[in-house]
Amino acid sequence: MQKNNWYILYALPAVILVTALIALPTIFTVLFSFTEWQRFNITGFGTLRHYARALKDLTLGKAFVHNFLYILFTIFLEVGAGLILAGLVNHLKHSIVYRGLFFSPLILPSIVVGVLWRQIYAAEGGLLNTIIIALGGKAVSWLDQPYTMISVSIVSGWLFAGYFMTIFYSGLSRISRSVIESAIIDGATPFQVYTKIELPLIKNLIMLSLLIVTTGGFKGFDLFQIMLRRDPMESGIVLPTLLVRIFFENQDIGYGSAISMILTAVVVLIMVIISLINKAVGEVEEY
Amino acid sequence: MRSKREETILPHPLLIALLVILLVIYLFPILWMYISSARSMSDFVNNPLGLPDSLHFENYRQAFEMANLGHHLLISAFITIISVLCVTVLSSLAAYSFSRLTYAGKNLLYAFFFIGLILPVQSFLVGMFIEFKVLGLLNTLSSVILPLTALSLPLAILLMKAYFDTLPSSLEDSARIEGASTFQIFYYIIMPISTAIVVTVITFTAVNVWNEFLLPFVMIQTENLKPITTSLYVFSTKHSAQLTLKLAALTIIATPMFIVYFVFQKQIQEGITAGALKE
Repeated sequence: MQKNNWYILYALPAVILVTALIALPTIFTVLFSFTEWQRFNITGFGTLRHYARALKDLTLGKAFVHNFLYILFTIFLEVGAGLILAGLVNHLKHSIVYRGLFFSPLILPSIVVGVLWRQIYAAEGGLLNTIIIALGGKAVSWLDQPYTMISVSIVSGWLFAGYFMTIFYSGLSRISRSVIESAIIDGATPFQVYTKIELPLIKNLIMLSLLIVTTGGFKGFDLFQIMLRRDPMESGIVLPTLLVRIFFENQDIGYGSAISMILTAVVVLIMVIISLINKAVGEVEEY
Repeated sequence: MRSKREETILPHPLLIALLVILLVIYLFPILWMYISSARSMSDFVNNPLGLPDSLHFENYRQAFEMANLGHHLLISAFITIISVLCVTVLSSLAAYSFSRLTYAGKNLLYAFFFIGLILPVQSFLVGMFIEFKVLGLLNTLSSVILPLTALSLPLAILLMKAYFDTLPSSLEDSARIEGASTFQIFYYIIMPISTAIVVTVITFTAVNVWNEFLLPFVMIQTENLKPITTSLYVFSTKHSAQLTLKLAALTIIATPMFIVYFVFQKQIQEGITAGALKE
């Protein structure tokens, strides 16, 4: 290994970009959340007003509830479905064909997915209601309350089930053959092998997936914005769409920054909690 | 020894039948998009579930013109090419230094890139907007290219470094004895044998940048400068009633993505899932 402090120049352009476009703007946002603003002009610093306002904001509370519902639904529709799909193609020859197809919706830009599913869910002339009416049912407003969150979550599941299937499959394919063969010789059915032996061995990947879904549940913006648009009834408002609304429609920089920080705190907190749980569970098993 | 078949969770014929049924349901929305995009409006409204009475390929031409797709596709292509170029060059240089060179503060700098993997865009979106406003970058393509490059760098560096770490050091030693400079080793020895990882980084960065919605939605309000994603958003809100044309526009955007996906399936899956697996 060559040592020379000038070698830092190789990394410097990347470091400068990440500093200027991620690190600094994050620090700015922290400072802005304690700043008094008149539209785009600073009029004072050191206020906690924005955070006090957040505590009493009913719309923010609504957004939190929606985010939690979204996470709850997507744990089943993304991770749960991913586990089932991975189990189905596990040990199957040519499983790459099925995995490739289940993964394929994720390649589409969110604008295509959002506009397409908005059309599928449309109350009048939508694909879903056409099928329901043909089967003798009644038309439903899928993007209005009380269905909004489950409808958006289903689209999320449609996008990401194949993603988690791929993650789980890559873990399953690394399990040593001898473990599986000895279980089969002992008389275990393939279903028992999957649930009792293989799934515990990819426990880390399942925990990681829960982490991705829970933190991702607070970041999702595209589908909500594209499928619900301005959402005047706030039937599907979530933290990221609320942030964009406060900042860009109301041009409330101070309050928008505070919402940013609350969102960041929640995401980081979840990461810490899940990694602590993961560590605790790992330690228990060592006994 | 049992045959490979019997290890699957269900007996073979049953399993294949189940998977095929699941896939048909799963991919039906996409199939429906393709079928409906070639129907006339009146035919579609009569029965959204039906097959076309005749194929209306003029829908695609009409959608292409109405949504000005050619112009916005060019903008997306420009943003993607510049961002991918910057990401590839900057990440390979940085990863090379993290993997093969030694200098003061190296580990600290490497750890610094992880903040980019952890923080959600929402943590710095407001600060970035004001920064760009002050610098006069709002409503320019730079306001999208710069952050997309910066956001793609951490994962690209992580993947490249992991790959460079697996290369034997004997490669460089002999070149060094013959008097090759550090940069020459990077350019003539390391990069040529790393095409596999470079292709992975290029494909998934290109897909991510091409598909990006939030940043141009926030940064670019000038209609003429919008990439395909946010211009289609405006088109779909303006022409809500033109359902078949809307679906035709979606089809035009989706088809090349599927082609790219089926050509680069391995690299795209690797790149998109690597973000999760390397954490």
